[in-house]
Amino acid sequence: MEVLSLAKKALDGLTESMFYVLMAFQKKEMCGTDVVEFIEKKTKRRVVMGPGTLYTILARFEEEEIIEETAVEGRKRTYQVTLKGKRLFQEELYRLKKCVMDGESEVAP
Amino acid sequence: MKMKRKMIPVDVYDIPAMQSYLGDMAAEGLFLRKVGTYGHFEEGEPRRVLYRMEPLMRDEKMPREDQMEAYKDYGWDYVCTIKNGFHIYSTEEREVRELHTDPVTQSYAFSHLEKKLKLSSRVYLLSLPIMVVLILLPVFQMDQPLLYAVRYGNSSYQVMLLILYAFLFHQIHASRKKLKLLLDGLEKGEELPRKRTYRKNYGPYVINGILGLFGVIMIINSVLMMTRGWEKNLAEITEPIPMIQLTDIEQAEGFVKDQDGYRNEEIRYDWTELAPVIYELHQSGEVKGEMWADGSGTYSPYLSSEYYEVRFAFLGNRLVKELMEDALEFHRYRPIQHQELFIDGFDDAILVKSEDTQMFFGRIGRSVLYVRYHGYEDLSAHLDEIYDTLRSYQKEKM
Repeated sequence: MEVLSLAKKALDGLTESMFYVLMAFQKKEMCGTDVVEFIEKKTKRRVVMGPGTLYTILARFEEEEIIEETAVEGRKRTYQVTLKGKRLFQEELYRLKKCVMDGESEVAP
Repeated sequence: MKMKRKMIPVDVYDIPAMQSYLGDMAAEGLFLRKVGTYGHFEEGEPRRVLYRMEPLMRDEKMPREDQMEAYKDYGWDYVCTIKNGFHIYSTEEREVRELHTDPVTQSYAFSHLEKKLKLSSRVYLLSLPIMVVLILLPVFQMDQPLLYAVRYGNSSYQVMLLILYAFLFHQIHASRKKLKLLLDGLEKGEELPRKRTYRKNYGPYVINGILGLFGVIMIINSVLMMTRGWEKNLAEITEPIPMIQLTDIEQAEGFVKDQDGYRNEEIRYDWTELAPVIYELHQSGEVKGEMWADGSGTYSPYLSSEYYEVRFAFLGNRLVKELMEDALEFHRYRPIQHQELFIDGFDDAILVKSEDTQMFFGRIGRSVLYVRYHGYEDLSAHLDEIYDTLRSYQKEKM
């Protein structure tokens, strides 16, 4: 898969930060600040993302056509997920579910 | 505020070292404002400032505004951008929050830059042998490279091109290696070292200085070559010249110098970087009523002389050899008599005869002379005159 080449370096999947950024775009368009707020709320601040990490992921996702820019209003740039991005998220979700199931099946009763 | 321009003694691609250097400058009261060939620092009260370098993810002169604002909210102010390299941010906050929380993600930004350097490095590596061949092949193919350089003066151009090329390749390769090391660490999930002790290295500036010097030499060379050379008729010359003339050899009554003909009786003076004094003279004439032995026409002797004052003594002997090779190439199908002479005062003295042509190759120190005479007189009988003319010219010049 072409899109998965992006993720190969990171434990054969997206990193946690990348996964949450991609998750943030699944339901609506967002700008950088919205993404940070979404992740902090979703993970109850378990995942805190520095702006360096966030903007590197946004630039990379944009370059790989996983997200695309939809509007620039003043300093605010808004992005939405592409079809390729949605597919990548589903694949990653499926992989993680399998991991969890595999792990749970080994937990002693 | 007063600005200060300083050389940056650290490789900008060695990020931890560069970040440490900028912090050390701030501790001395010098705050980075711009990076070009030099660093531009604003003077102020010494204080603790931390710097971070962020590789460019796209071609941009400064970060996008939303990104700059997000970094500022996090306590990091945008300082400047190193073209095609990094955005630099600084903070003075005590409770520092790092810009990156995921080393693997950070590695993407670095791999972007590393790929660019890798490409440049490969382009240079591939084109280096091509450049070397292109530049040096003509030199190797030439039978007389020194004579060519002495006559046409192009050696500094070639040397400069090669140094420039090798230096650029070395610089890109060294930077790429440093970046690759950081990238490997990040990909393994290791955090980027924030600081590193560094040794100041002004090497690139020194090399740049040498290249600049070569550039200046090249310009001076071109100007001197264009402006210092001249051509005059022998009759106009009042200063001494280091050559004997045809009338010194042809004593026969009825000998008349030929005033017409291409470059006849014309003395040419030239300057090249390897031979700052070059003279060339062509003379011919005829003796009315006397014929060449083969009956091919009126006896018309010819004399040409070339004088070179080479810049370095060690080039003299080589130049004599190359002049001889070049001259004998023309006579390669004719019988040749070659005689090495040991004449007091001459460091090299060789007489060559080929049918009606006699050639003398002589050297006194850095002065090299080549005389070619076509006629029936004996050139060897005039070697003392040649020596005296050369000597008196040298004394006059001193």
